[in-house]
Amino acid sequence: MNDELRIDLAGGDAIHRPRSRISGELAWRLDRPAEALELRLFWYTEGRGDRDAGIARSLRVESPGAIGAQPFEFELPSGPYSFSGRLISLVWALELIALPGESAVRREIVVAPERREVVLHRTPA
Amino acid sequence: MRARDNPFRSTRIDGLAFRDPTTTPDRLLVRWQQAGRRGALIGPHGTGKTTLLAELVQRIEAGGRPVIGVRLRADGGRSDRAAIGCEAIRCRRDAVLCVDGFDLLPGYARRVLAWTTRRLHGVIVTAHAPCLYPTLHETRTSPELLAELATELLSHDPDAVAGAHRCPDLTRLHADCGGNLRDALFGLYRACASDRRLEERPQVADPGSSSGPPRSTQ
Repeated sequence: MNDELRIDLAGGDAIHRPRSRISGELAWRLDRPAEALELRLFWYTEGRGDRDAGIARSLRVESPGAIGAQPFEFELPSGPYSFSGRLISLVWALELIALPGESAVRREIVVAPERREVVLHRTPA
Repeated sequence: MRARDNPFRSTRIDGLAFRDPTTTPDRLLVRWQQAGRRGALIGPHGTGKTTLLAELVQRIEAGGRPVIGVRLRADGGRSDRAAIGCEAIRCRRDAVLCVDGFDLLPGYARRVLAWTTRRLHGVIVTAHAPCLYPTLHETRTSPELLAELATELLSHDPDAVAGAHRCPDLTRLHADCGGNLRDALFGLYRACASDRRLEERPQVADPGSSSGPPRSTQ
């Protein structure tokens, strides 16, 4: 399987403030035409505990054919912010999936008011 | 170290394949067939029963056989028992029922389940001790296995090796955790998380692109 899926962000900018707009272009070259493509804006956690995740926005491209490209634009939600501590990180990402199947590409982004991941430090004892 | 960079984060531990020098999932499936497609994977907490069950399920499904999986929780109580009862009744005759945590059911419920599922194509359960089903495999761990898994998890992150090496030696860690590999690997997580040298690594995400199975659906 040599499916190629791509998410290009406008200006290459992957760091955004909450409620701002994120845009770019999706491009695909598939071995066989997919039934649909789905772009998902979602967050997930990483760390010591079980993974949690939530889909904030999605965009479906029906009958995309084997080769194509399409612009997209989402308004980012107000939260949660991208953050990292020792026990848990929350990561935002865009994911483009060819349906049905397992082909997907993921592009991590940062959603935070200071335009950088919030880092949780240990409180001094 | 950021949690997302920790080589011992839970998603990476969950991604480890089952390994046991004495057997393979394929051999266990042969044993299961020979035992009338009924069997139990037994072993203490954190020794790989669920990982092994997942690999068996993957192989059974790849062979075109429907699998109904039920995972019982220690705090599930009556809702878990009701759920498994419903699954057993609804289960297609050609399906394989897999129950993770069979011994969390009370004795009468285990017997009822064994009776109601006798019409099914197959049953596989996990339990901490021998149960109503023939034992297919007893999962065990060792300090050597812990070292092998730790080495695999660290193989992509040389910086973290230093952090992991500051924890108690693996033989002691394995013993302190009573052979529970999950707990031992989380001990290594803590060692990496508290290594101050690793905190000095860049904190801003490098928002690269990666491919693989979808994460938003996992």
